[in-house]
Parts: sequence; structure tokens; C-alpha cells
Amino acid sequence: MHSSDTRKKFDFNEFFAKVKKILLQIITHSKTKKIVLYTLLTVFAALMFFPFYWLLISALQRSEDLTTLPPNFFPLRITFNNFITVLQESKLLRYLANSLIVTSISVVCTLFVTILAAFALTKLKVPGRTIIIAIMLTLIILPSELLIVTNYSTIIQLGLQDNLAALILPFVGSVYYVLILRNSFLVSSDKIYAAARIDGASNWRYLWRVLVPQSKPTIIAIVLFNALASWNSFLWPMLVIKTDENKTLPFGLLTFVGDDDRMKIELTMAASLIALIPMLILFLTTRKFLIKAISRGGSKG
Amino acid sequence: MKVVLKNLTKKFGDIVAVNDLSIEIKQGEITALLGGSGSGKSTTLNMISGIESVTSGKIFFDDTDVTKMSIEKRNVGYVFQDYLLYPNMNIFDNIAFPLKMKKVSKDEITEKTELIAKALKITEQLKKRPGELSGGQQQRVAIARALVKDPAVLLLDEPFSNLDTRLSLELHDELLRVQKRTGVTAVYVTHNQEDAMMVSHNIVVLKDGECMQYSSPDELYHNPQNYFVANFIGKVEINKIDGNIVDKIFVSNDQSVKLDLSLNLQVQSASAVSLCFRPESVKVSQQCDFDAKVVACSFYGKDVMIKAKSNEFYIHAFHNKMLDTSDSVVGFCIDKNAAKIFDQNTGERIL
Amino acid sequence: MKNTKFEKFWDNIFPKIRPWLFLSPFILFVLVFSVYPVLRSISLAFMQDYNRLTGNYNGIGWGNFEGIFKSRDFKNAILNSSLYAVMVVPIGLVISLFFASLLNKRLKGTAIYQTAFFLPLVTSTVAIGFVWRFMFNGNYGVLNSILSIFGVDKIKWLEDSRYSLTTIVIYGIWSSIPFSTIVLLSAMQSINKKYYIIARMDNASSFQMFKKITLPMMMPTIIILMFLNLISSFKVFDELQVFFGGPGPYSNLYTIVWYIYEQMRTGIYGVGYAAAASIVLFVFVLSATLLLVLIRKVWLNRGKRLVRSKRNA
Repeated sequence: MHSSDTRKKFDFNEFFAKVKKILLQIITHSKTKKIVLYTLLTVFAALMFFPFYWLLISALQRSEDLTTLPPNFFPLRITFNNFITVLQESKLLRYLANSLIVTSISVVCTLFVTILAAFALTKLKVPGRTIIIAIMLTLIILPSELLIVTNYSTIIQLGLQDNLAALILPFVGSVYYVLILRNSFLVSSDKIYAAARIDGASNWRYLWRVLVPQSKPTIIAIVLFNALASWNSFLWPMLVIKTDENKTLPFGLLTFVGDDDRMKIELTMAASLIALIPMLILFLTTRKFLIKAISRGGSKG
Repeated sequence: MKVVLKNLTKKFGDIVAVNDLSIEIKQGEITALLGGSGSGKSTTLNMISGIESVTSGKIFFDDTDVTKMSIEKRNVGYVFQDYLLYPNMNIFDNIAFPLKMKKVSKDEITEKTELIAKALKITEQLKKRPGELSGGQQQRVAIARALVKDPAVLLLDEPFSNLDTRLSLELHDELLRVQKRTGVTAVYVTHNQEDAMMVSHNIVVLKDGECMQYSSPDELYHNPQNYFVANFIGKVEINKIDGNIVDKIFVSNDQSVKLDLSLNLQVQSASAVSLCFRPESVKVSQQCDFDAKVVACSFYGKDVMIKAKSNEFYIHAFHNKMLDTSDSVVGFCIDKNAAKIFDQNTGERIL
Repeated sequence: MKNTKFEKFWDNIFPKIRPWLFLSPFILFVLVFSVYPVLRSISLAFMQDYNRLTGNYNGIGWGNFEGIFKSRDFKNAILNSSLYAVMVVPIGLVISLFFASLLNKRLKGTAIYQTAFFLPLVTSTVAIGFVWRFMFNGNYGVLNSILSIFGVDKIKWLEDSRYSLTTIVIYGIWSSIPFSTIVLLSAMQSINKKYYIIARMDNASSFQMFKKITLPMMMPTIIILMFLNLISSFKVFDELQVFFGGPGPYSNLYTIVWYIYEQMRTGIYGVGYAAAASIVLFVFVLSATLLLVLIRKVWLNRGKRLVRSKRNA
């Protein structure tokens, strides 16, 4: 009796050991690893992307379908009515237009001022250059919240309250962008600058014909970041803009919210989706560049 | 462990990097993979280590076929050209790293690490960080790290390339000493034939992925099997005179040299051959094999190197004193036993 | 004659003022909208009982600061922001690190994965915030229905003051992941691949390689990222407006920025408090930055002290 028992136990252990070995081989096999990786990536990508998915299908459904329980993970009936309603009956297009105007003018103005300033600080001999740059470096760490308080009263004093210009002006002078662009300009050869001057080119010409084209990637990055910041800015417009007509997109979206549950969910979703589209297009077209720009910025800290 | 390569071939697409390489490295030998860029030396090293996959052929460590074995299992010690010490660890931890991966006991780790550090004379650096060490010291740490786990074979990628002459010579001694002490089989890649000649038991001379010759330095120097090896090896380029063999007599193209080789030569005649001999195998002597005009003289250690020109060729020869270079025609005598004949087209050795 | 004199003068002086011509727009805007506000905010913070309409104030002192630190809302703001930071920053970093290591394997389909993981970078909090609000909805929200599968009762995420912070935290983690992941991924990719080859020769497992090679070499970046995230977690504003229409369901979820915003809109005396609060925020940011610089210096110089002492000995 004894011996047969011990023999049975033995077989068990051996069996488990063999199974373990096979499992380990499967797990460490490179193909299995790949499958696991792809699965993990897909699962997490889906999780991160889920809100967007939810936004999409919510915007495409009718109010009744959205409030059924349990919620539909796939839309049963699709309708485009929400979009039509939102576009026709609300001021969404107006908000969109405001945002477009503000962002584009803001980007252009800021870029212009930044280019001129970065040029002056690199190639032109500005007395006290070091001091100015030192001051700029200290200004960088300032949180924008510190400036809000006074800028608000400045805007009021200038009589620009409720004016789109108020959304543009405070951000035209950006220490951050000038410093970045300055770094990019510094890399450009001084000898070429000297040669251009000797050839009789004016500073203006040199700046726009030579220096700027050389720094295209940085300039594009600045434009992108600037556009994003401007488009998505929320707190400042909320402070400054009073009338509905002049609201920018993020601020304007708030009008879709009434009381909490009485909020017309499907319309809000549709409006949000529409609001998201311009940035979505921006992202899809500049994805690689954008990611590269952020990587570089992140590593410099 | 002995390392055996059998018909080793590596292709990158259509490009053949290594072609049918077969060599057998004995346990405890230092072998140099010598060649220019594109010769396949680094590829071969990487195939031995497992970094590169093998297109066809086999690699054996002792009797184990490691051709398909993953890097992790081969137990190879590798020293990169740029050392690659872990910058966030001190030297002790750098060297101990392989042992920690093996989950060896702490005492054993300390013991083995200190032992190898002593062997490579870096005991004083153990507490420092890689950034504080000189290049030569860093290299020794890298070697220590490779050796501490008692690898099957030690592989080094261009160990001499980053060092100046003095450090290079130090490394020569280090490698020989450490290798002797640990008895590890070592293979390294270099493009410098002097380093290879000084630090190896055997050298694999590679050209365009083919093994031109695999022998000891001595053999390579005195017995090159083809023109490429003869020319590649040696501090000074080997002398070469083109010509033909007629009736066992070598006649140079410009008829200035006629050498009776009947004693050693097997073939009766051959066309388009090169007569090659090293500078030390030719003497200044009147009325000997040929005359040539002295073009330059320079000091070469205890000897003087004479450069002389005949009609169609140059030669270098060693002499014991400086010669007048203005228009002096001097006679030269070739040591027939040391002379070699190569076919001009195939480069193969005839004599 | 007059012309040449003037021309000479102009030719002489133009190059000297030219740089300023280029620089002046920038300087103008910076002075008006950056430098002046800083100075004014600092001074406002110390003007007690500053009356926005009349400009009168009641002497210089710490009155405003005393006021805000006594204020229940401000204290609430500091508490919330701290809780938020403690939860969002570490969890966000860990998840981002995990994602970055997944993405580092360079599998096919980068375009799709990049879009999925990084899209939140460009979306305004308001736009995507509404979806989250809907998902958190007590009655119809997706989150509750998923929970019900596990037998958990419906939670009134947005109405219950116990869970309202959690909603912000979840959103905060989700929205911080893209940026953190990109930065971490780039740091990972900058590590010399050969280090891993050597480690593989030592039969190191993936986990060991991560712990001993990847993580230490990424430390500087991780620390910077941690500080960046820390600072921005004190600036939460947008999502509060979207989720609750204000600072929390029962005004229990204040953040410093919300406090500032409210103070600016309420009454005539709020400006001083707003300024003081923004100074507090600034001090916090500044000290965090200085701490970061200090840590970096220590980190980079570790191990070198030994050498120096040996030399002196």
C-alpha cells in the first residue's frame, strides 16, 4: 500500500514539473510575447480612447436611446439630427468662428512679435542683452494665474472687456516662445549673417529669407503649441467675455449645460464632437511632428 | 571552451557579409579577426555572441551547437568598443552585475568581483563611478565585467581602436596576462595588423567576408598563402616585382631582374606572376640580382630603410648605413628562400 | 547741407536703435502683460481691504494672507489640491511608465496606437469633459452600468461629495497620461540599446533590465516630469466647471485657481484675496522648482564626493 502511494505522488510531481516546463517555454517564446504585447497595447489603447468612442456614438443617438439602461455600447439607431439641431439652433458656429478668429490672429501676431524679438536677441547687438534674458528666464516660472488678476483690470481699463482682442493681446508677448526660438536662431551661422550683410542685404531681408526658413521646425512647433493653447483656453475667456456672441468654443460649449439631468445630453455630445473636430484634424495631420516636438521639449525640461 | 565555426555564412539581403567561414579555435587561445572595413570581422564576432543571426553554417562551443541559441544562454562575455559601463552604478556594481543576474550569494559576488578587479588592477577604482575613470580604466572595467561570470568565451570589439599607442601597449600586456591567468578563450576584432600580430595565438585574416588565411602570426608573416595576406601583414609593405616565369627562371617585366628559382620551384613556367619579398630579405650587394637607383633613405630603428627605384618598380630594403641618394645606382641581392611568388590574378601562392 | 547732416546723424543712430525697433513690440507686451502684472499682483496682495472701485486700501500688511488662510474655501482648496496631487501624480506616472514601456517595443501600427494614446493632448478639457460628465452620470452613466455588472450599486459620482474628488482624480490621471507617456517614451528611447545587449548576455530578465538599466537612466526625466505634473495639478479648473458648474457638488471641491477665479468675480474686495492666493500659488511653484534644481544637482553629483575627499586626504 505504501509503495503504491509514494509512486502516485511521484507521478504527480513529475507531471507538474513537465507542465511547468512547457508553459514556461510557451510564455518565453518570442511569438507568445508578441501576442501578449499586442493584446495589452490594444486593450489599453482602447481604454484610453474610450471617451472619444463614447462621444462619437452618443452624438449619433437619440435622446431616448441615451437614457436607457443599460447603455448601449453599440448604437442601435443612428441619427444625424443632433448635429443638425446643434448647428442650426445654437450659436455653435458663432463660437467656432470666434475661436477661429482669435486663434489665427493670435498665432500670427505672437509669431511675428516672437520672430522679431528672437532675432534681435541673437543677431543684433542689444545692449543689456544678458540682463534681458536673465529677466526672461525668471519670468518663465511665473504661473499664469499670477498675472490674471492684474491683466483682468488692465483689460477693463483698456475698455477691451468682452472684446475678442482681450483674448489675443495678453499672450502676444511670450517669453517662453522667444527663448525657444532664440535657441534655434543661435544655431544658425553668424558667418552667413555677416556675409549677407556684406552683400547688402537688410536685416529684414536676412531675417525672413534666411533665418526663418532655417528654423522652420521650431517655428512650426511654436505655431502648433500656440494654436493649441489659444484654442483650448478656457479660464481667461470665461473671465473676460460677457456676451454670448463673443464666446469662444470651450466657453460657448458650457451654454449647452442647463440643469444637470435636464442637460440635453445628445446635443451636448454633438456640440462637443463638432468642437473637437478642428483639433482632431490638426492632430492627425501633425501627429508625428507634434510628438517629436513634445519629446524634445520634455527632455530639455 | 573551444569555439568551432563550420561553413558560417551571413547574408544581408543579397549582400554576403561572411562567406563560408570555417575555423577551429582551441580552448585558451586568443584569436584575432583581422581585416579592413567590410571584411566581415564584426559580423563574425556578432554571430559568435548571438547578436547577429546565422544565415547558414554552425557554431559550436565545445560540443554544443549554439547556432540557434539565444544571447542569454550562450554565456558569452562581450566588451563593446565604447565600453558601455552603467553610468548610474559604481564600478563594483558594474562588475558584479552579471553575478547579480545569476542570483549568486552576496559573499560570492564580493569575492569574485574583488578577485577579477585585482586581476585587472582596478581595485582602487571600485567605489568610483564610470564617469570618473579614464578611458583605459573604463576598458579594464568592461573586461572585468565580461570575465567575472566565467564566460565560455571572451569577445572584444575593436579593443585597441580607442587607445593611444602607450595605452594600446598596456592593453596588449593586460590581455595576455589576464588571458593566461584565467585561461579563457578570447576572440577579438581589429583592423590593425600590428595589434593582431602582437596579441594572438592565431589570426583570421578576412577580406570581403572570406577567410584569406587562418594561422599563427609567425606563419602569416613568413608563409602567407596569398598576396593579400602577404601585403596586409607586416609593418612595411612587401616588395613586389611583376613578371613571368620561364624555364624556372623569374624574369621581371622590364627584364631587369632575373632570378633562378629552379631549386624550389615546382612549375616550369608561369605567366603574370609577382615576385614578393620583405625588406629584410633583400640586401644591398654589388653585382647580384638587380640594380636600382636609390631614391630615399630613412632611419628605421637601428637600421636604415632604403627606397630604390628600378624601371618599373620600387623596393624597400634594410641597410646598415645611409646611402647617397644622388644618382647612385646600387645592386641588390634577394634571399631566394624567403622570396614568394604569387599569381597576379588569383593571388595564390605558387612558391 | 542740412540734409547731409541729418543723414549722417540718422546713419549713425539707426543701427543703434534698430535692435530696439525689433525688440520693442515684444518688450511692450511683456511689460504690460507680464512684468507689470507681477509687480502689481505682489503689491495688491499686500494692500489690505483693497477696494476695486475706489482703489483705496487699508494699509500694507499681511491682512489678505491672513484672510485667505482663515477662509474655509481656501483651506479646502489647499487640501483638495494636495490630495489630488498625491493621487494623480504617482498613479499617472506609473501608468505612463507602463504605457511607455509597451510602446517602446516598436510594434506595428504606431499611427493607430499613437492616435489612441495621445489624442487627449490636443482636446480641450471642456469638450471631452462633457463626455466624462455623461459617463459619470448617476443614472445613465456608462461607469455605473459597468459597476453594476460587478454587483456594485449605482454611485452618484457627481452629486455625492464623497466621490466627487474621485471623478476629478480619474479624469486627471487620464488626461495627464498622454504627455507623461510621450516624455517617458522619449527618455526610454534615448537609452543606448547596447546596454540591453550586454545585460542579455548576462541572462538578465526583462524585469531586471527594467529595474537596473531603464529606470535609473530615466530618473532625471522622471523627476522633472513628476514636478511638472505636480505643479499643474495645483491648477485644476476647467474640469470642475464642466463636471459641477463650480467647485464641487456642494462647493466642497475648491482648488486654488477656482478660489482665485471666484474672488475676482465676487464683490469689490476680492481682488486682494485673489492676488494673495496667486502669490501663494507662485511661492509653491517657485519652491517646487528650486527643490527640483537642488535634487538634480545632488543626483548628478552623487558618488563624486568620495573622490574629492580622497584627493584632499
